[in-house]
Amino acid sequence: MKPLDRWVLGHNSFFGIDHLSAKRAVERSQQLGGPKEILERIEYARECGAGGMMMSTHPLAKELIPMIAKSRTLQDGFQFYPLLPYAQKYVVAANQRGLINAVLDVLAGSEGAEKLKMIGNMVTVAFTKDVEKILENLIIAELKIFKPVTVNAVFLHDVLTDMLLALGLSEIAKFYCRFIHDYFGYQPAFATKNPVVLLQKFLEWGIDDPVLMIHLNKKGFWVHPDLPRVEKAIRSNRCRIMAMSTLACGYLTPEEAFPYLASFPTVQSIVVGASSKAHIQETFHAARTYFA
Amino acid sequence: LSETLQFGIIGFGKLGLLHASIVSALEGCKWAAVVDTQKTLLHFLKAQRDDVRVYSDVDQMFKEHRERLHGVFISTPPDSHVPIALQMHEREIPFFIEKPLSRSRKESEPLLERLKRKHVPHMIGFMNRYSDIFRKAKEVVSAGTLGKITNVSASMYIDQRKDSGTGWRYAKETAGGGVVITQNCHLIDLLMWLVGGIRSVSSRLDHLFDDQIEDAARVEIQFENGAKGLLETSWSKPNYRTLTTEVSLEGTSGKLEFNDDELILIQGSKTTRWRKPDLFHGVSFDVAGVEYTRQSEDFIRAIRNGGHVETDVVEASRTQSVIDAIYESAGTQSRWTDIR
Repeated sequence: MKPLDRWVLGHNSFFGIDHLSAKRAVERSQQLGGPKEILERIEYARECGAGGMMMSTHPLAKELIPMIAKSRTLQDGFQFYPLLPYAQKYVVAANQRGLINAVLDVLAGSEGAEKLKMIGNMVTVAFTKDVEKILENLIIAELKIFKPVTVNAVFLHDVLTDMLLALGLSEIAKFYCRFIHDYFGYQPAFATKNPVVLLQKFLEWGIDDPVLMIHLNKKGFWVHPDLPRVEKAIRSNRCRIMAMSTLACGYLTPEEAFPYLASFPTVQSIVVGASSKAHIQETFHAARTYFA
Repeated sequence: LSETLQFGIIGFGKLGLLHASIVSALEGCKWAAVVDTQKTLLHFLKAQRDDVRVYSDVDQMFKEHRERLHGVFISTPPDSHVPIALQMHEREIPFFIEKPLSRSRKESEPLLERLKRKHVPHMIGFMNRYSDIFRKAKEVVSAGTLGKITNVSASMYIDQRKDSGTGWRYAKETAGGGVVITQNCHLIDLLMWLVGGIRSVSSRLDHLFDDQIEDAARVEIQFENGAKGLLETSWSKPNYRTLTTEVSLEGTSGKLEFNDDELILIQGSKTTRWRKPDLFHGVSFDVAGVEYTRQSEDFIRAIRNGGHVETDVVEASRTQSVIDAIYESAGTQSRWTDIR
């Protein structure tokens, strides 16, 4: 069981994502700069203490990863936490061509002689093993870009995790854990907006001590169904948590937010935002002080 | 109704999957049936969920489904919304229709007529009315804080359509139009909910990729209560990764500006600001936003005990009339066109 890095750099600000403000996200995406500027900020975050970073399979990641792999600053043990898939890509493709065709497009771009056979199988997929084969190809296609770097845990996007939970698709959740571990040697992990339900279901499904990425902050922002129930669930269940939205999207100061997170033994890691160099320096300093 | 409610999903695309997930997660509800023409999906489902009955059309579902269905979610392309809803109405099965209600007001009339004669619980999916921010806007407006609203400006943008594309969303015969009917119907619904009925519109549409459907629109609005408004929309707006809404309501005693993330109320020299974390309330299960869960909960309450839903067919058909007028005005060199 590989420990999670204590302080993990978030990727949202690099990709023009802002969960508090769509407007700010638009402004940000206009000022992102190229991969070179982003790399500089990642290197700076490493110097400030970031042990690794989240990285969705955003189109920009494909450009960034080879540069990161070559960076001297990021050579020594800097780890990646991929979040897959980059959901927006599927949403846009599904708007154009429907869900199934969006999936087929990704498969068509995947490696290996099996791809054509897989596309054929999509029409008649009738057994669990067929479904698993398709998912294997999708995951391989998504994670291909991370080959040159060190990966710790691979998070399944919260929309997918939460759909698996809602629909009771236990076999797919178990397959995901198996495949990420056995094929890649990475830790399987899940992002979720519903940790209370997840911990209860995973107990029933026999998925022990899961690695989770959840919204957690003392304001209770984006915490479902409510803060007391989530606090109780993460105190009383075996799990390892990477907390995100820790500052309630800028609502709390790091000094207010981090001691609260440090009070949970299961919270092993926090995702730290990085909208500017000054922000990186300030937040990582507070993380080292209050979430040591 | 105290028993477990059984639901059918008709049209298993993105939103069908979302509705299936939400009803599966809500207490006292079960996802029991699905209708779709896409065989791959149906095979996939059969392999995963043998308790969900899978049908290739609505008639087959009626013929073969043995247990009572307490409600259906219609998430097919808009051209089939009304025909399917009529079939549900005939069998007194409560129905939820994804927005927009139909391709035109005229197309929705048979359904309006039937519902006048016999009420069946139903709802149209304008989920924005369940967002924390927009609810707060409604609360501020309803309390009379702004006085008489005189000026309205609103925009809704996303960077979604980058070429002529394929699929039903970008085909006029299935979708009924482009960004105005598919995306901007949300904003029209929101403005009518907040400000009131619309009397007439003058509009200009822009086509970026083909002559069939519009990609941007600029609409001047005259509200029934005398307020004037300007609405701008595009689904090909660079850098707008997600759907982004901005509204400004100016009244005789205050001004309210809000977007998806915050509200600012200005009254004289006093400014009050509410941000998302100020207004947030958790839900029992969140798949893709609290508004979707709350919307389904309202529909379920309406089925169980006749509770109120935010948008019914009557209200959605008013939005549809405004959309018709926007298209008509654009086709007549932006002539002011009354809502019928």
